[in-house]
Amino acid sequence: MNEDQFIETFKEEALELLGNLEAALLDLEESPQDKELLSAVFRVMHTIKGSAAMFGLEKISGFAHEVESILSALRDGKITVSKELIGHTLLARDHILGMLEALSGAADPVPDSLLQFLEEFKLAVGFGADSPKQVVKEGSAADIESERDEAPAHTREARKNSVQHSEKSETWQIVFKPGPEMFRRGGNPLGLIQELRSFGELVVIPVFSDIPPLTEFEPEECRTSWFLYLTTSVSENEIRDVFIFVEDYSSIKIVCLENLIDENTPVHKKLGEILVDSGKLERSTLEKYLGSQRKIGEILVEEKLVSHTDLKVALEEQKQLQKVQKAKVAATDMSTIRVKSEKLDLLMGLVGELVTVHARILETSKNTHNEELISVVEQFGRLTDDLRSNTMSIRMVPIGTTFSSFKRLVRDLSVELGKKVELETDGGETELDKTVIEKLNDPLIHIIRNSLDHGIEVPVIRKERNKPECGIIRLSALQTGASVYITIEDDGNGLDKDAIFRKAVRNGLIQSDDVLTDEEIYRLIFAAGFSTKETVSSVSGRGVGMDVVNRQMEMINGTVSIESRPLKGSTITLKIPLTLAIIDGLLVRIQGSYFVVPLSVVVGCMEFAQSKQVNDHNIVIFHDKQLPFVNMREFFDLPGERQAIEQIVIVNIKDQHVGILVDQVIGGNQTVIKPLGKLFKQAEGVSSGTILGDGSVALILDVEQIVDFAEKDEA
Amino acid sequence: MNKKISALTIENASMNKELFLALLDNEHEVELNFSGIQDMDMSGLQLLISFMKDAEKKQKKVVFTGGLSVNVQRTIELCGLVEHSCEQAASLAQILRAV
Repeated sequence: MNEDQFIETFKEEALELLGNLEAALLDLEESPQDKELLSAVFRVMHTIKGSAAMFGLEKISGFAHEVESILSALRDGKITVSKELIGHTLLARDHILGMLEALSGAADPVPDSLLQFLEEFKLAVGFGADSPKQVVKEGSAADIESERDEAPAHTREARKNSVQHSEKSETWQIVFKPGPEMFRRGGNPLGLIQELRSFGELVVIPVFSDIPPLTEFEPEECRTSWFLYLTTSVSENEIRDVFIFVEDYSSIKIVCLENLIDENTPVHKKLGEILVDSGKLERSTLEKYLGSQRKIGEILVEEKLVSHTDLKVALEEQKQLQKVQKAKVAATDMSTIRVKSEKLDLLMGLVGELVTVHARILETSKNTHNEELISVVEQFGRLTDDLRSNTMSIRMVPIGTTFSSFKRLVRDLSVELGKKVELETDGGETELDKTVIEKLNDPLIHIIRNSLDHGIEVPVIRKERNKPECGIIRLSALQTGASVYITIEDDGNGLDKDAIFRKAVRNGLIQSDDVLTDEEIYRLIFAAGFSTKETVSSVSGRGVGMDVVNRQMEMINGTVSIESRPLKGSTITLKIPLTLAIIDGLLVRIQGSYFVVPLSVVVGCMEFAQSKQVNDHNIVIFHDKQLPFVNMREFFDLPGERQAIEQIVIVNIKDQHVGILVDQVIGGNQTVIKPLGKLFKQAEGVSSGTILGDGSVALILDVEQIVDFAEKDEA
Repeated sequence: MNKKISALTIENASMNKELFLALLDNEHEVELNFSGIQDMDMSGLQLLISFMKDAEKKQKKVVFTGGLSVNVQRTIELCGLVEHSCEQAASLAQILRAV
């Protein structure tokens, strides 16, 4: 490896580190007390400084050094997490990114412009020669705590440090139920909690439900119990020691949360599951309320099925479990290797060829009638199948990274627009093909920008409408079958149907006397050159952007749907196929041509005798229901006569069953998707092509489009 | 009825309970002024919660006034009742009603 290659590797790693840094900073803004996050932020800057210095990149290392010293003051508690700090650190990250991308002059000292930025940074966060300790508002508990602390200051400090620099910390759930005689025996539960707090990060949830009304209450009895979540590096024995004087008359349960998690635990354990597992809720009750649009916790509390405290404990457990699991994932990430994505694309292409070749060998071997050969080829087929699914799984990446990159976008834009907006994400663990995720980035940016600019109102108006000042944009992903649904939901204005209509007429997209459904009107916002905002802002309003959504979705065979509730908000749903490379298909024949129906939409097949067709209408009875069907021979205008016995493939499109009439259903087929090229862009009813075992070409049917066309024809 | 409570602690728990009971029996509206309460421990907090439960049952109006002393603030924070600092008695009343 020569020096350039080393620098290239450094650059790659640094870019990844900076990506992590952004996410960590935004998380830190939300939970400023999280020491793990703080150390993570510090470590990134430290690593970049060190590596840059190694390669003589003085400009970067010098700059990173200065930022690191500010962060080190933060880690030591000399300055505190504030909006300014996060904002400036984010800017510093962007500066480093800029320097990395243009490495020319990297050996120069830090330029004046950046020095000035550093000065501003230091000033904004109160970092100076004497670094006066700022008083934290939320920190008043800590101040009072030290005021009354009985333990010698230096031992406590030492203990705190040991926690901070520990290699591995674990999260413990402690259920502490003091005996009623606790007070009489001179015990003080708060003293124990305080001691636990000195071990690390502690979340305290008291349970007061055992306290009776005054007439029945014995005031000298302890009737409160606690759920405690402690993240610390001290051992279980050390935690138990805290309770040593009260354990003979109290109940103390200590569980390590990591032990509650195995590979079968979903990354986001559902709240309902936690409540059922802890015995607070019957599974049958949970199932009754699932599927409702509202949050399950709200419903359960409202229906008085679960108490407020139980819900609080379950929510905390969910949060802590996620934290533990995240740490676990981070630990396993260590054993990964870095591979260029082009290499994966190449591999996928080769696997595709292999699948095609296998189909040919199978076809040829059958003609030889050589049993041994056929059996070997079948075995070869199973291996190819395994190889295909393995290769595809390598290309699958969780969409969470893309989601978290939008947090920055929302943060910056909301400041620019003077709005308060929070981005909530859900289902970040959902996996999608890497190429698909890359193609999703632009549409998502535009939709989120649009929601921020046109959807969410400014705080004053939100207040008037009795909404919380802070608007919410929810980004969620969900996989069902062979598709992933990504929804972008906001609680803003909703789409202004009339304004969209007027604008579309003005722009010549439609005629003023056109009759359109709500959905059709909403869809106009994706038309090229459309924008309803009168003034052009830097965010949106230039009429470019939203049409990107349509274009990109077409490219990845995805669809878009829009819902809107006036003054309540809007929801845009993107439906995306899991992968673009290979699908399972059903091979069918019409006359001499072969077609593939994606297996993901197939519900069943049936024989159809033309003689039994009741009248001219294309209707068939399937499972006692009347279904419409599309005659593909007519649809594609293929020559030849209809056969006496034909077959119908029943497909499910948008929760609707429709039949597709073909001459013959041949069987399952591993379909390597080959794009058809620009010439066939206008071809109706086909999405792409594939190569069959005998080397001939089969077209892959775009079933949704076929059904749409058929419906329009009918109308 | 105008009684002075200086501390809601285990030492005077029984006495305070009697006082609270008497208040609920005799008054329609009870005002607890916290500016004189210098100290409160876990038993005192339990007593307050129990008092609020009773007041609700008997449909009596309870108002907390004044600021919370450092020791009272410390108890409600340490025991996990509040996550952020709570300095006014009025906000404590709100929190206790939700318990």
